[in-house]
Amino acid sequence: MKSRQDLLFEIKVSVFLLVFALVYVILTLVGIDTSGRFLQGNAGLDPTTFPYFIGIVFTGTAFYLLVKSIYQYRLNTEKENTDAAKGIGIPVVEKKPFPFPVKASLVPYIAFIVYIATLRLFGFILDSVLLSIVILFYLNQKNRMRNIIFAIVFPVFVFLLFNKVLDVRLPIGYIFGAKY
Amino acid sequence: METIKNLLMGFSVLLTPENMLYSFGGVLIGQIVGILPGLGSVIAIAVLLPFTYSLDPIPALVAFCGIYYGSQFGGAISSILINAPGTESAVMTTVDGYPMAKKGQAGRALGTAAISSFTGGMAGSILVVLLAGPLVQMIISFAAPEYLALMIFAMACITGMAEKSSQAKSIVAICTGLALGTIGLDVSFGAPRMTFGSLALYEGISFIILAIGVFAMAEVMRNVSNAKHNGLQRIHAMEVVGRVGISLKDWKLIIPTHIRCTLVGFFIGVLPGVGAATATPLCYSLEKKIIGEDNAEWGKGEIRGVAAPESANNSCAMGALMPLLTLGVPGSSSAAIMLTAFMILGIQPGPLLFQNHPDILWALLASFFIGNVMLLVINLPLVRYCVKLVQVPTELLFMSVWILAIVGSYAVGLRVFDVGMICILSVLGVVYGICKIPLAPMLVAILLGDMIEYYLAATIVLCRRSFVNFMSRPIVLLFLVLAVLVIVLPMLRDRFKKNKVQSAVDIIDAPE
Repeated sequence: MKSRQDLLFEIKVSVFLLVFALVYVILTLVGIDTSGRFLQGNAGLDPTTFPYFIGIVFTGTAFYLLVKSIYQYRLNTEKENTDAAKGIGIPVVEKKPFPFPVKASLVPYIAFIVYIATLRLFGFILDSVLLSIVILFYLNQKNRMRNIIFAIVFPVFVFLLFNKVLDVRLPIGYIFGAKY
Repeated sequence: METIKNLLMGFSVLLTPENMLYSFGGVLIGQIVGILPGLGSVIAIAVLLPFTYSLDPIPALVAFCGIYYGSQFGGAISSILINAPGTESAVMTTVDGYPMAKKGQAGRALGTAAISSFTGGMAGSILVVLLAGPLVQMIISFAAPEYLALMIFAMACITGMAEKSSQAKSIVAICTGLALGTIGLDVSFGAPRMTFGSLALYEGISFIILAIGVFAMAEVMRNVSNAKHNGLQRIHAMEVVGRVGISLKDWKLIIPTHIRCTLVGFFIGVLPGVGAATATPLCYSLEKKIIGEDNAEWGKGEIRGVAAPESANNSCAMGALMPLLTLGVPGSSSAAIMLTAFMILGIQPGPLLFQNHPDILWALLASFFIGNVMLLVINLPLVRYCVKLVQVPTELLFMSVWILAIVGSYAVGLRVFDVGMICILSVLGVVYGICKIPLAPMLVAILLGDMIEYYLAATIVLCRRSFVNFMSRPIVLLFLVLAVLVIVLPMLRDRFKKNKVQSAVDIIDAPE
């Protein structure tokens, strides 16, 4: 049997999924051109049919998950209350940590957003060198020399490989005179 | 006879220095990717796709297929030497492989894994070659309703084969994949959907961007965040002492295991949505039942405990290529990404592949045989050097994948917008990981979404909007019955098990 903490987490997950599904349904209502230009009657379908169908199944499944987790949570609580009435102690469950270190992910995500925002300005090489330095030093400050060498060599190697050998033009950067 | 002639033609096309080099490169990368825990063939192929843009189809596909089945070989090495499976399909190999290594039999375990992988891979390749032709003959007569029923069957397999507790979550994953697939111009009417005026979204979100974002970038973000939170972990592999190989006595022990597990693994692989993660535990428990719990040291270093999952996962990987090559329908996330690789190179897998590009197809099938021999050569004498790879600092590995993911996404359309998309999609991948929603069904659904919508419209027209007309087609009926069975049978089995346990408890509790 799942612990109360796990079931509470499941309820939160279900609520999140339900909201996500409803947002999708709303997007299908407002984000599809239903003015009639694209409607073709012979199959009885239009551009909204498939997204509506997905939205309904998505919402229904998320709702089912919510109802199921609430039901299980209530069952669990009732059982614990009955056990307590019988004098059976409730097992002490250690509080589990959240399954993902949100705080630790902030720096990589912020660094990535800044990278994307400045990719055209600085170009692939400089931007990637800076990103690599930030992340490598964020994770390991001991091997400074190795981090710096890797942060420079790897992006330069990738740039040369793609630009010169594979003919995939990576951005050079406005500050290096690129014109897009 | 026709098959042998075609295969020989495939070998003649394949055997050029360039193709051999790409085949070797592919299997070597696959092997490395398999060894490194946290990386998989999906991530490797997704980030390496841009390398193919300037290549011819044969070397590119040979290399990607090499990565795909090479990763199955490599997964066993880290399972045996560091007790951490490199791939999902190598989880069961740790059960007996690691105890063997602890007993000082690492060479024997690695030899068994290599030979079993080779046997599974070769037998799987032979089965693909033998069965693909007749299957295509049957499929060539399929029309839209049959394809639609097949897609429904594939979805049912993905849902039905998931654990009972995660069946609903598999449906959520499928719906998310289908929902993401609806962004952009729709396939039937050309109407823009959920683009909100953004021209960048008109083409929809490219499958490569989705795969890189949801799989590769999310994995990088998870690993970087966990490494910061828990500290970097250095992996220490056990040393390989002595010869890597097995004795004649071992051969006699594992041959029957190979035959059984190869067959079971292959046919599980053919089923859409059911991969090696299902085949390996099934084959392991099957062997345990056939040989008997008391007749072997299961879990303590039994050689057949290594042979069973390794032959199963390699033949399963080959089996998974069957629906991809013959139907053009991906059955797993790896197959989905392989399908994209085909499409980027201008080749549409399916029955017409056999007619339109027989040179490419048979060269690819021939490459399976050569690739497996290459892997055996890499694995037996060179395995002790390959294993040094797990000692590469993890932060450098994460950063390399990150940079390659950026390049991979940028190269799709030479747009910074796509790099932004992988950042957003990585959040989705991380959040779904937290919610324990499987990502593989999402990836398959993204690709199947367009096909389902197209075949649905065509079916409605073809069947004149009559459900009876749809159901009266025998193959449609067969697929739909199978779809229902795939969902209902596991439920009934669980109910039966529950009743059995309950009656056992009642007997114990009953007053004497």
